Amino acid sequence: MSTRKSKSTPATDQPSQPPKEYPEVKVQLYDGLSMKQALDDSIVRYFTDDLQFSQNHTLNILKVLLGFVGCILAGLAQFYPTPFPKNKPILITCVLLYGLISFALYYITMFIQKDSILNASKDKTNLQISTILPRYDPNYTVKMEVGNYIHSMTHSIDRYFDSTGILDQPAFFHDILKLYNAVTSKQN
Amino acid sequence: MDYLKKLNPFDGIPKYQIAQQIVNFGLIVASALMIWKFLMIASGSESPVVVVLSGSMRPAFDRGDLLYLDMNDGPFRVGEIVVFKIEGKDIPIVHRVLEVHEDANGLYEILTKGDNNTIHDKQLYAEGQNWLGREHIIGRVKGFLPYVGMVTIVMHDYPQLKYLLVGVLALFVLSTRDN
Repeated sequence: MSTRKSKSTPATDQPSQPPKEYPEVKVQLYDGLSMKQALDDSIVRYFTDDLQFSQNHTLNILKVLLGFVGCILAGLAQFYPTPFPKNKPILITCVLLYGLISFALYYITMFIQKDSILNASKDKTNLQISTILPRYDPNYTVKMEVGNYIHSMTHSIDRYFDSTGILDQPAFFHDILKLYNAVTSKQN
Repeated sequence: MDYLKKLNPFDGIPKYQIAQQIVNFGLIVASALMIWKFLMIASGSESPVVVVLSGSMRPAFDRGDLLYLDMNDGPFRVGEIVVFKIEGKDIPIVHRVLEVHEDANGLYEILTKGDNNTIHDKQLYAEGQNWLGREHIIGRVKGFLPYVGMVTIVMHDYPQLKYLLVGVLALFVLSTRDN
């Protein structure tokens, strides 16, 4: 299994040039979900490895903490020493708090995180990237936000995958970089 | 060795996401538990949903039916179907109230009988016990779903199925990716 090499890269590493070798990414064709995941993963890899962005995990860590508190509440409700009819107040508070936590988790996942695949920052630039690939639709949309500037691009995914399902990473990153430059230049 | 890597469901997942997967699994268990606790609060009974285990209430209920119980402070009336537990036996019994004796303090002495049985339940009660009291009763039957409880009976008779189901569920949850 050989790794793909991009065609022209100078010896000096400028921040706007993608590095030379990527591990091969191959997907099952026509499986929209795995294609979107492959594209999303390569975007995340590109920005964190190649462009040296650092990911912002606060929302995810918050979700893990909320989930952990929910599990504690469930344990408390189950293992509280007083037998049933007398422990009703504890049960009611546990169930109510658990309901609130469940709702908060749902809200964060559905409305705050939505289609976002990357929330990263570098040198005071806060970048948020969301992608959309609807079911049975080959058009893949990438939306980048830096501050108040939003740019998006839509391409058919056959632009990036060849007939055996291998992802053409240099071509993909070229488009991604173009979009990134567009959204960051508007700021200046 | 590549195919071994593909078989491993944890491959390619960053470390903090493993914590997330474990918490997700815990949340599934917690959700089921909280729904049960909510039903306990709503019905007032310590076991709001029971499965009929015997045919002693035919033709009304049969083995494998699911019953929803309600327990409040109201009086017990002849003809109500109640679920009760006897000391020393941990299986709840679903039978109909046959006789109700109430004293001046509001204490009840209840005799029950299964519709499909020929005699009343005095033989079923504990040694020296002739009547049921409120403390033995888990609830009155308020809702009914036929056949659904057979799953519980099968899983009880074949406990390996229970472990298999939990194992499959755990593997499935731990290996699906969140983002």
